[in-house]
Parts: sequence; C-alpha cells; structure tokens
Amino acid sequence: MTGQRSWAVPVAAAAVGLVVACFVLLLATSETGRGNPQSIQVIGKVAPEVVATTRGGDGFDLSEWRGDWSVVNFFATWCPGCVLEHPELVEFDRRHAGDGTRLVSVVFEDELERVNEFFDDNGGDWPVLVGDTGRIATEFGVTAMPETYLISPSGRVVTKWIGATGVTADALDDTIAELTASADG
Amino acid sequence: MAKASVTDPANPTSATWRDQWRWASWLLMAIVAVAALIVGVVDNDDARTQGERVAAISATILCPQCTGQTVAQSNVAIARTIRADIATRVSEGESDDQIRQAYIENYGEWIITNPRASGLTSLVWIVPVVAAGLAATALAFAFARWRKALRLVTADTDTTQAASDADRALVSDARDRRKRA
Repeated sequence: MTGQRSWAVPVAAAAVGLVVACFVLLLATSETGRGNPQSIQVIGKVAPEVVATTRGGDGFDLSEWRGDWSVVNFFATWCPGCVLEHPELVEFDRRHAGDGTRLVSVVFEDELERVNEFFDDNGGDWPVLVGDTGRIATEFGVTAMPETYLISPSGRVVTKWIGATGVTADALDDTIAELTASADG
Repeated sequence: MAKASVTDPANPTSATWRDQWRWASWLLMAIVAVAALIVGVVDNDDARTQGERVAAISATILCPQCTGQTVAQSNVAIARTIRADIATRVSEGESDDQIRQAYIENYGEWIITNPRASGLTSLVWIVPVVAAGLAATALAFAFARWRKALRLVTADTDTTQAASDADRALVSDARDRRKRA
C-alpha cells in the first residue's frame, strides 16, 4: 500500500503538470494576431464581392475593374483617422488619373448627407459606395476605421492598411511598384 | 473468522433491498443527467424566434474592435454592423453554424468565443471530459477501497460475531441464575 502511494503521487502530479503544460502551449501558440495586416484572413484571397450603389445613385461592381490595380477604402465622416488620411487618397487619385489604377470608398455606418458634404468640402470624385455596405465590410474582415485594401490586377487582396495612422499615397505607390516588379521578375 | 454481514438477521432481504434502491437512484440520476445533456446539445433552430437566434449568435462572436466583449455586448460601429449582418443572414435562411463559419472565414478562429471541436483546439473540449472521467474513476476506486476497509473494521469490532461459545455459555448461566432468583 505504502509502496503504491510512493509512486502514485509523483505520477499523478506529472500527469496534471503535463495537461497544464499542454494548455499553456495551446494558448501560447493560438492565433492572436488581430490588427496585424499579415494575419488577416482576406489577404491573399480573391477579393470579396463589392457590389453596391454609389452616392450618385449609379451601380458599382468591383469585378469590372479586374485587370488593373484597385484600392478599396472603408470610410466614415465620424472617424478621425479617415479624415486625416483623406488628402493622401485625393493625391493618390490625382497621380493615377487615367492610368487604370482606381480607388473606391465604402461608406461605413454613416449618413449620405454628411458623406456628400464631406466630399464636396474635401475633394475626391472617385466612386463612394453608400447604403447597406455592412456585408461588404464583414466579408473583408473590417475591424475598425479606417481600413484600406489593395487589390491586384488578378483580383486578389494583397495587403491592407489599418488604424489611425492611415495610408499614404506614397505607401500605396511603393507597394504597387514593389509587387509589380516582383511579378515581372 | 467469518466475514461480517450487514444484513439484518431478522430481515435477511433488507441489505439487498437497500442495494437495489441505491443502484436505482444512481441510475435515475445518470438518466436525468444524460437527458439534460442531450436536450442542451441538440440545436433546435426552429423552436426559437429569429430575434432569439440573432441574440444567441451575437453572444458567441467577439467584437473585433473591443477587448473581451462580444458583439452583443458592444455598441461600437463594427459590432452594430455585425449584429445587423447576422440578422440579415438569419432572415436569409443560414443556419447558426453557417453564420459562425462565415465569420471564422472572414476574421479567423479568434472571432468565435467557443473554440471549435476540431484540430488542436479540440483539446479544450476533450481534456476536461477525460480529466472528469479519470477523476470519477479514481473516486470510485477510492470509495470502494474505503468501504472494504470499513467492513473489515466493523467485522473486527462486531461483538456478536466475535462472541465465543464460552461467552455464550457465560451469558446463558447468568440468565438461568436470574430466573431462579
């Protein structure tokens, strides 16, 4: 009886320790990279469907832009980061006028009047999608405003920018140049 | 020494009767527990309203912008958007699992509060069940050993069983003397 107890206790302790170690390992290696652009599900996949109505009342389908670089920007007038990065998007749009690279904004949880007023005051004549855009946002895996996704000519999402620091025209151009060079090489 | 019995000599069936009652009560408890588990696990979507389903699903999806809150608990823009999208998906006829799967594909495993029962995360479900089973088995063995030890002690101290023929003769003589007196 005493002999059995002498080894049973260490074995039980070792078993409990092993289970605890496994749980710690599981938690330590679990996916926790939210906010990291490289860990977002949509990166590398074909871009989700973006079909909606523009603030001018026209129909829009992102798949019609297949063959050129395109930028999808999730935007709201109540979002300080969106307001801060807006001049950069205006600059990016100006640089690529007529070369095929295009930009579309998806309005997120906002009112049409405010959106129209914002674009009238701050510039920008690219398509701005309004109405029920919630499904588009969740399909892209949007977590917070602003978020900007770069779509390759093949229709795949190649990278994203997120957060208050926003995106810049130079960052967009540098990424497009880098990816185009690597594809050509 | 003869093994002690807990059976009442005056009622030899009482111990068997008590054993049967004890086993019947354990069996009844097991049946109730299994029935409760089955009722809890079976997902009967048809028995709930769409609003109840939206609330239930929202309570299992984390708010991407918050810390430790579900979209049911948060009122930030993305949480409101996800709640509205869940409501749309429910009205479009998607099942609870399909909706959760769509969010896993869009955001990743972390978006769901309950880990899935597949892959490495299945350990979260399996280990507690195995641990509970092992603990119950260990307890059953321990109880059985304690009961056996208790019976041996009872037998050793049972004066009725331990009385010798000489003891009985002594008692009988004492009774006879009292009657004569």
